[in-house]
Amino acid sequence: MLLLFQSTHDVIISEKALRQRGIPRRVIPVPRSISSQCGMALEIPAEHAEAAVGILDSSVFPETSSEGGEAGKRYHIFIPESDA
Amino acid sequence: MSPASSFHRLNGYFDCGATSFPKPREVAREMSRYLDKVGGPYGRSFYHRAIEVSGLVEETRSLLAALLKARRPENLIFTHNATHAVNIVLKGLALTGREIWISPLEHNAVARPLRRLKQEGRIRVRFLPAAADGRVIPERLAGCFSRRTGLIVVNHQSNVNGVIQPIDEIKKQAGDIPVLVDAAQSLGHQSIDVEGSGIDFVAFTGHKGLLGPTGTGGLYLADHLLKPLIEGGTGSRSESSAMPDFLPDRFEAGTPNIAGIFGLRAALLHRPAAAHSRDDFLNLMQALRRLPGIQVLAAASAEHQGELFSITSTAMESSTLGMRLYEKGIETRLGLHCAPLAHRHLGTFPRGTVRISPSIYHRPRDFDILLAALTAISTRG
Repeated sequence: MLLLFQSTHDVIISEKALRQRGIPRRVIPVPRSISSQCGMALEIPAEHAEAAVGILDSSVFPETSSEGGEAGKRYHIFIPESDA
Repeated sequence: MSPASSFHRLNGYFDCGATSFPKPREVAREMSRYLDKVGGPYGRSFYHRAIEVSGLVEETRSLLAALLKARRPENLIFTHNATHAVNIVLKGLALTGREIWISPLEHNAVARPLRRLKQEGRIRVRFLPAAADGRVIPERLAGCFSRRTGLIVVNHQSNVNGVIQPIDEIKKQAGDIPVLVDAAQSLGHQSIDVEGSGIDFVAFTGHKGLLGPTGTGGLYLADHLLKPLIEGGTGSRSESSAMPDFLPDRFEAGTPNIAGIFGLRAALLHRPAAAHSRDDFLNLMQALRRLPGIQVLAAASAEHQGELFSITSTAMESSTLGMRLYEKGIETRLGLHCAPLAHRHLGTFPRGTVRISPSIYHRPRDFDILLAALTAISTRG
């Protein structure tokens, strides 16, 4: 799973939160085929995807995830075909 | 925290209102570490070097947000200094046709942008009711503001006489009208609680009370609709020619002062305990008041006094007094301190004053040297 963010700030605070909770993750360049976004994306192994999203929604972006729905989220999920 | 006792010699630098000196030694070390070893950009790339730098910049943002008790770090944006931050607000808010209320002790960082807006016929400037020392009187604010009021600007701690303004009470009276606090002199000395008070904007610098390097500063902004002052690359939404509408990117075009931010973080993390007490400082002021021919410009009440003040002499001009002090190893700031409005209110325009602005590094024996120098000058000329 790839997590795409609107800003460097959001990548960094998300990476930190996932690191502190022991979620394996890797910072990779955002594939041009997906988006230009902020240049960095977080790659999460498929088996940790659900936990990672849960952490972001509950402790990193609690307001936007509950108030804005998918459109208002400060991050977006991309599932590569290999993960699907 | 260890006491700020790294000065072995006497510290005659009393111009920390201009810029603080010394700094915690970790400030230079961290700036050097970035320039010599770490390198790399903020954002924009994915490799480890960029992640390390970006993480440290964001940690600094969080430290500053915590200092202001701001819930969301992204509402804290980096600027070059407080003047830059003030300009973002004054030129970014939709103020055409509105009244701007300011304290009588505003710095030119506020007065000059407002003068331009006024000359362009866009705004009207009015002064908040204040006492003789320039402190705004919150009880007299009722009835001042109307639907035409677009903004209230308050210099939290005067850079001339050190008066601390009642910013929380002013915001309470202002209600929904946005309040901009110029905290250039106060942050590091006075606490600010943006969530508790509801203050809308706080402009600050990193190199005065926070003990960081020059070229660093910031702006806290609540969720207001502001036009960005500077537009350009942010490393985000690059396919669009419009600035992003989200924080902090909307106001952070261009590469930030990364070396400076490394230094500012070090200053925040390694801030020493003050080497003098509040009583030491107030006793110094009291001793100076007793010297013949010396007037102390300060808050009417000690509880409203920040850690700087001005003096004048009936026997000589401020420039002469400052020169005499310098001959005795005391460095001060002379003149109008970029605050002609304040000097007009305090009755010291255009003569100006000699400003005494210590830092937390000054020890009581440094104050003794200042007192001895002024005693000698005031009694023997």
